[in-house]
Amino acid sequence: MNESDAELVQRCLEGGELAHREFVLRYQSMIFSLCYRMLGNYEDAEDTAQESLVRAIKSLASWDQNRPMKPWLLTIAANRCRTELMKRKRRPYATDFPQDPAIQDLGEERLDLAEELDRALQQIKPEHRECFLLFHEQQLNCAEVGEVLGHPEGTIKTWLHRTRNQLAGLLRQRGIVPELSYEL
Amino acid sequence: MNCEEFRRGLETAIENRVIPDFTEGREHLKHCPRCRALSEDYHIIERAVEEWAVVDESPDLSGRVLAMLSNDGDLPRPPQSDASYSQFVPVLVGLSAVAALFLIVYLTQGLDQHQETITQSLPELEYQTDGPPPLEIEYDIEMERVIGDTKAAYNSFVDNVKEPFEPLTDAVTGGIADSEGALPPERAPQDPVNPLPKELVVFNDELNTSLGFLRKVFPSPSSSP
Repeated sequence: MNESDAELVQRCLEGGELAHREFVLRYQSMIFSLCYRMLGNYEDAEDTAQESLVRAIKSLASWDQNRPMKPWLLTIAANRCRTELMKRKRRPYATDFPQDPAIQDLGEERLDLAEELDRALQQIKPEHRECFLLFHEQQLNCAEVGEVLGHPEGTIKTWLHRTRNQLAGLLRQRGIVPELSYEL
Repeated sequence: MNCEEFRRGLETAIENRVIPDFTEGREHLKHCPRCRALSEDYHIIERAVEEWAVVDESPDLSGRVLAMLSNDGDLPRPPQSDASYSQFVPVLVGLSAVAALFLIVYLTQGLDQHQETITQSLPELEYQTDGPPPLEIEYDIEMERVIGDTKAAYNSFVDNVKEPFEPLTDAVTGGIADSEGALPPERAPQDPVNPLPKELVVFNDELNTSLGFLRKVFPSPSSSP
């Protein structure tokens, strides 16, 4: 039987390496995925995800058991990502995603759609990128996204639609067209 | 349906994660290229997101995370491992409270004693409930002390200055008289009645003037109340 978040947290608070390990295994994919798509670099995502999990475990006592765990964890991870992005302003960094997907080399093989989307996301402002990731990848609703990012729900909705339109434009530039099933 | 209605319907469907119903807007889309582009964008993103899964290349971070927690020493420990430390905490808290209480009592008693000393040294000052507030009484006490000390200093000054000055004056006049005998007749003082040099006479007058002034300001102890 799957242990609930509250039960797992309780075991973590009581101490024991086994409970902490289970906590990490349960949430590391989710956190790493967000970090990787925010930062665009595997090593940075690893480090940031690790820091996020350490902070989360240290702060478990402050988690409200009446609220879902996922937004709380993603808030920690998003804050760490933002810190890492701020540091990047002061030092050079390498990304796994090419910086300018708009220039299409004739000989370049087009990536699959998911990779194109990842590439296009790197062109988006970090805040808007975060909003898109939390909504579409992490499946949070607009209210929860607002809670994680510290902005009102109305702002989140505006960002979401604006980002979708921007991404669609970037994907069109890469030659991606819609497959419409209805006739106009 | 107009453009605004079509756009709002599309956005609401996105926010609620439901598939928008384009049936109603089909006629509108035939004639509106802008809304048609919006619906195409919608399909592009939805298809991309569908193929775009959670990253399945997540590394196993458990070892590194646990190592960091162990190094930091911030792992939550079971209650029994803190027994040796925690049992001293209430004792320390109690001792701190007792020490604070003692300090308060001691300081309070010290203030009371100081107040008693003040009242005992002022028999002529009657402290009445409707009298001057304690701050003025302390000021009077302090002034009395300063005046008394100054009087004592003055008396000491007078005694110390006057007494040695007389023999000094005598020595000076004697010396001058001796030296005058050695002077040539034309250098003899003009006024043989007063053998003191003019400068010494002036200084002596100024000193007497100062003494007179001091006597007026600080009458002799025998004349004080």
